[in-house]
Amino acid sequence: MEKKIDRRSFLVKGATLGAMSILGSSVLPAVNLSGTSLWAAEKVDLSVVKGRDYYKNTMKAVSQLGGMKQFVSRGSKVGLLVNSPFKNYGAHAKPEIVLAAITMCYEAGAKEIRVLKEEFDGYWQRSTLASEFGDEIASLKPAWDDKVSVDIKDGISLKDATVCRDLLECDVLINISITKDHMGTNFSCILKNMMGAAASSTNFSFHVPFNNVEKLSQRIADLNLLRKPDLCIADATEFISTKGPYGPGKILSPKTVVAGVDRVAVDAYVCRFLGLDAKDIHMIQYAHQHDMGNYKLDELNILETRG
Amino acid sequence: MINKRISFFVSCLAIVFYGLLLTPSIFAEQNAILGFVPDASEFNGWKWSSSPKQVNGMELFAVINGEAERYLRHGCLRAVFATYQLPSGQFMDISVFEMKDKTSAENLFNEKVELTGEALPIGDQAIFEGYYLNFHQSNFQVTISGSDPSKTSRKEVVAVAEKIFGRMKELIP
Repeated sequence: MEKKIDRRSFLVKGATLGAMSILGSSVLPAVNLSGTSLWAAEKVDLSVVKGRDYYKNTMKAVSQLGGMKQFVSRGSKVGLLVNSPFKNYGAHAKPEIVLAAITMCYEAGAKEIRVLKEEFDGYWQRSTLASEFGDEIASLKPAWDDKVSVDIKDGISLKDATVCRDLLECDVLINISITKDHMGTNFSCILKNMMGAAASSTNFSFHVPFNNVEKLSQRIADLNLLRKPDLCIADATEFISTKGPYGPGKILSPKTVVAGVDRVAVDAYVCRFLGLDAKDIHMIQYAHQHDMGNYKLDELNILETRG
Repeated sequence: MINKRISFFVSCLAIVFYGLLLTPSIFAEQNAILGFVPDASEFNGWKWSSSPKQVNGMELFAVINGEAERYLRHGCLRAVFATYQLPSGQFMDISVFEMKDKTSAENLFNEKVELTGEALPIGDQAIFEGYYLNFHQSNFQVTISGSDPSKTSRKEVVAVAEKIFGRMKELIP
């Protein structure tokens, strides 16, 4: 049975949390990578928030980009692609981060939110916020079963794919992924998460032949040609740094949320938490060669704050 | 180009044939693996968050996506996944993999553990690592993992592992 969303509760919750988020950013200094102050008027390429409250971090990270209204207009249909199929700790995006994004989407006036990848059984219950956000969770529309086959005109290794219809047809695409180790590509986050919107048959072909990092990476970059996310949110709070993508493995805890429009830049930023350099990650380099974004962090305006 | 295509199709065929070889109907007692996972009621106050579900051969791809490749390469025949919810609100995830033989189970185990873990006397070999435990016994590899490393109790993880090992001793001829 479908539950009705209580719009008033969205607005009250959102206003309260939004105010907390804004207050937090106003009382803490904003610094970029080199430690110099940034003026609020500057365009921010990457918004980085570190802190223990991942929900608030996410709200603040998006507000530092100009707020969700920059991306979601009233009445729009949002496609949400979340890296949430693996149960092990540090192998899935934290539900708190996704709930913050959902709240902001509704505040901005989203008509509906369609989920492009089925989450594992009990995913939402992994957050203590699950009961508080029951209406929001119930409002999500499953969209992972409706797939279409499409050609990828400019694909180098991948020429066609079967993907969620809503990946292509939603008004706004939000890609939320956890940063983590990955045995196939050495690293996984926003670019890799695009495979979550593809059919098993398409993804299976990515892994054949086995252990071919270059081919897998090229196909991921090619798949990303299908749709540019309007907003990317990377969960670099707590994640597996070994035994990925499934885990369990060693946990790193930078307690950081990164938001940006440029998927290549977001991946380039967060891969450093794993001790990696974007120059050495095939997937990022191939995406850059497709003109999907900039991996050179020193050319970006990065706003780093505390939550 | 043609060689590449042939190589691709041969690889695909090899995987498909391998998957068919692992088709459950070929194997007797295909559901025995389900019996290894203790019922939630065996632990005081625990309940199922996700009751045991068995997947066979290539079905692994639907559950653990690309990670399935690793398990199939090692010779995984089938697996069971389950999750307990503890009174503390924490979760405990269980994965049991039935491999084609004892060596495959040991190889998978070795790939899943860190050298720095704590060795425990469970099964043929067991290692506890902060919030999770891996062990292998006969042709089975088992992983038990807490949902939050900072709140996971070693005692609870080990208790589940010992129960599963006990079931294996009873059920494996």
